[in-house]
Amino acid sequence: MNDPNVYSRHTPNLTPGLFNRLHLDGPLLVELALLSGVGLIALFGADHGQMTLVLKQLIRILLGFAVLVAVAQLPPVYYRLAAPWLYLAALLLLGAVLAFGQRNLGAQRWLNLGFVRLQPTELMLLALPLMLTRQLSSRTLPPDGRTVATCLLLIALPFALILKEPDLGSALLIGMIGIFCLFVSGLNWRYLAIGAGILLALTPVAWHFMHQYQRERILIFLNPERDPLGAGYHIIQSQIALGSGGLFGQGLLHGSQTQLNFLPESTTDFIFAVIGEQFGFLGALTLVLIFLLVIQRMLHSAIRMPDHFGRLWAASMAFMTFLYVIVNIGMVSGLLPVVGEPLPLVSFGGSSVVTLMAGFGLVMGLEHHPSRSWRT
Amino acid sequence: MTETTPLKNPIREYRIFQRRMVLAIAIGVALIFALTFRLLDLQIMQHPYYDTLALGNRIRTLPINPPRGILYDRHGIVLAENIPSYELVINRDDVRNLRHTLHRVEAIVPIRRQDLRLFWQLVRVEPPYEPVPLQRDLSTRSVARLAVNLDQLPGVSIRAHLKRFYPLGTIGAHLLGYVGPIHSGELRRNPGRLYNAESDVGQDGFEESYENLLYGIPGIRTVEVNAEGRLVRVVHTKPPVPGDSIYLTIDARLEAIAHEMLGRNAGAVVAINPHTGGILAMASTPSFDPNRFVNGISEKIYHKLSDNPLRPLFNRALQGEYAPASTIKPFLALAVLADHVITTRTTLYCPGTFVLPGTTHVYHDWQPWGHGVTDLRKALTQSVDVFFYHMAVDLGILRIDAFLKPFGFGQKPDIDLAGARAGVLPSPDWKRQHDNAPWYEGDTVISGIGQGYWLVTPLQMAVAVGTIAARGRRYRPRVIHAIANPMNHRVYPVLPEPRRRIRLDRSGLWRIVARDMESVIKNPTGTAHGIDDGLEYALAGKTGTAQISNRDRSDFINYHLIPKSERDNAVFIAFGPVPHPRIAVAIFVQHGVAGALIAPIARRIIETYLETHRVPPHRHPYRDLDPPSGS
Repeated sequence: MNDPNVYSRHTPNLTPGLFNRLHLDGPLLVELALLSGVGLIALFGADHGQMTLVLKQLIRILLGFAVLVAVAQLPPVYYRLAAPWLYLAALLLLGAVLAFGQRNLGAQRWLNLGFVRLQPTELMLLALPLMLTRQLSSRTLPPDGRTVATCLLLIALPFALILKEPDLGSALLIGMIGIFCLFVSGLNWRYLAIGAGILLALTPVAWHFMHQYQRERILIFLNPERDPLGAGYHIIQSQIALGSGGLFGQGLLHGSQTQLNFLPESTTDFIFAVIGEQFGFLGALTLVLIFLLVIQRMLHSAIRMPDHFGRLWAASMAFMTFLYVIVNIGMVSGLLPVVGEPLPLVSFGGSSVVTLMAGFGLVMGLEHHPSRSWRT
Repeated sequence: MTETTPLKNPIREYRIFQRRMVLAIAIGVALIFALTFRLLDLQIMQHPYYDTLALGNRIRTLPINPPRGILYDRHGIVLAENIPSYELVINRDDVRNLRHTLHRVEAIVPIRRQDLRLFWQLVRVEPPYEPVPLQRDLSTRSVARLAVNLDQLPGVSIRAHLKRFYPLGTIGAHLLGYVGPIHSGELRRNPGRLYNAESDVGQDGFEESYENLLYGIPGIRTVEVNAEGRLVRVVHTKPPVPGDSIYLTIDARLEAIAHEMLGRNAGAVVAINPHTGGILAMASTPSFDPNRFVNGISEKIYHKLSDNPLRPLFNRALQGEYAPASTIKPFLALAVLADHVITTRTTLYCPGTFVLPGTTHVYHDWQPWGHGVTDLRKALTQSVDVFFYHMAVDLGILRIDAFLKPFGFGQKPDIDLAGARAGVLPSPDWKRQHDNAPWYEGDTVISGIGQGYWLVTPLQMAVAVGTIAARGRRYRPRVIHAIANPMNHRVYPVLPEPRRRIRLDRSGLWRIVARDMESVIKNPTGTAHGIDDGLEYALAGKTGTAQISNRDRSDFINYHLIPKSERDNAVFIAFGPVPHPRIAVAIFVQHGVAGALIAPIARRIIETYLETHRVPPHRHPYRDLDPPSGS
């Protein structure tokens, strides 16, 4: 067993390098850059060798890195203080989305602020773990009943609002991140068992309250051939794309599934299938490995954190990344139902890039700011 | 869990976190392994399966319709060919403003209202990537005007395809038939998947009967398409095998003459080579223009054709059934001679009427005062009805029936065209089956002059006359002459198919009847003497005039005074030149008044044909097909 004394592990660098002075983590930055680079190449392949989307995405990624750096500069104590307000703001925005959000494909997820279309779900993805982290780290661990109840309420509010949009995938994501925070903080097994039991009992009720398209997605997942040209089309085509890639893939800008548009959503949710088709099993595995490296780096940060706030934050970011990867790749390869979650930093799309980069920035900031200055 | 302490214990908290993280990571690693295994399964294990699926997604095979075989007459004159036809198509993918583009196109070529309407209808139903035709059958002038402007009209293009064209138009339309767009029913049957929705199929006549030779074998174009079904590139092309071109036994000039001379009458002409069975001309009037059917006939024109009381779509040569009238007499003459009822020297007295013994019903001759003492030659030359009343009664209907059946009367001719009718050879059996009535002796009497239940088609008559001309030799009547393979450019003759020869115990009887028929024209008293003037060859003929109304025939009045629909049908049969006939003709004209009036048609057809055959034998295109004449 390692020395549990975290203070002895945190050896301040007396001659800090550039990264340290900027409160940044070099390896993680390199890994994120690598991931973004792979994403841009995949996007280039998915968009038939055109640069339009690639350049747009590049701008977003650069913006994301800027946010990362900016977030890392602020002493983490402020985030701890801001957590309730951030959470409240995210909750209000979610309510606003329900009240007067933009409808897109039948679901209200976007809030048009005139200059930018905001997806408050993304904000909540940061705000909820931040709030929980604050909540859990300010008490002794494992959390007592009252803390657990508070946390569950904090999870349930955004979960219900997002579910109402309706966005089952994001709601489950939020819920799982919340439960994860409780779990690694030492939630009593008894609570976990009770929770699991309630969840199991609620499954038929949930089925009853689901939207028709959500039920259809699950039925389609169980049997894609139910409707091969309709709802099952996505999953069938993406499996064909992956399967036709083989070991080495068909090469960049080759592969009929992507190039001839058989693969739907090839630039966004199904971009992993593009990688699988063009770069094969090895390419797909490489991408998964880069993600695992990012997660590993975050876990590495977690154990070096001086207290539970930092640890929990780093762990929940690692978990969020992991969840995205599992949900997205599971969906693309037909292991999970189609839920429409992007592959972070690889899929075309702005919101998730900025959200995740901000989260990563906070991890770096927490790790590399002098510990005493922010502890309350 | 132990009771919590109010004080934070960092070491304990770290331990809790560590334990839980180890658990979480373990689950995470398991999930990653599951994911990796899934990818391994999809991309490595099932790779061949999914590769096939991907291929099936993007590869389509499209048929290329083969060019249809060309039809020539016996001398190589084109009867049906494929000509390029241009259509103006609009590819909406490349058009920014459809209405604007249409305006600009209309400024260059006029577009008919109805085409424009059809265009908008198609725009609504066709998928957006499918080019929509705006104007079919562009004139060369329009094509030229458009071609120079195409670079300024994105999305507008000219598409060429082959269209069936019948250069002779109405001439021989019934014989050739026409092609038209395939019906959905035919497409469903579709043997060997030869056809597709854009195929043209022979709909009538020769085009229909020889569809399997003329159509060819479609080619296959393997193309790569994208998810929208749009063509990306051509992977492989297997060219189509064009249909066989066919030389018909028809002589286009005879065909044209037949049409010209029938004029506005409803009638039919069939000319045949008695030594091969090859049909030299087969005309039916009034006719129609088969070119109108090629792109699918408009309903208006079709109704105009089908509602016409003269029935222009009806092929009288194959399907028209008429009383043969006196043209049956040469066959009866053969029958009585062969059955020893009379000899050439037997004479009968013709008083102008005939009364069946034991009855009172009077049968008239066409000449009220009769013909006096009549032998067989006179009976044929002057078409003496009373003589043949006697002959019919003496022979009896059963012997008539038995003798005439081998000539093809009352049976469907086995010609290589569909739709030929059988006509009626009167017999007690036929009457019992058909009318459920007994046969009377009176029926036999009028059968002797080709009236009563008699019905023959022009084709049957021509074949039967040809049999007399060839002295009993019979061949399968046919229209196909030779098949030209478009790939190796070789011509394969279609050989005559002999049928069982009619043998008489005295072969001289054929010549006797032929001579008697010759005197119909040569003898000044002959009914067709009118065409004898200046004749270079000896022709044999026989007139026929079929009464169609019960008007009193004894009145000799000017036929112009009779309404056309009550005038008698005219029939004429002929062959020549007499010692060694090379062509036999049968002509039927509805309401043509008298056989003598239509005899000039036969003369001109026979003369024209024989002139053609003055060509030295070694210059003749398919000389090996026609055996030396008269043998």
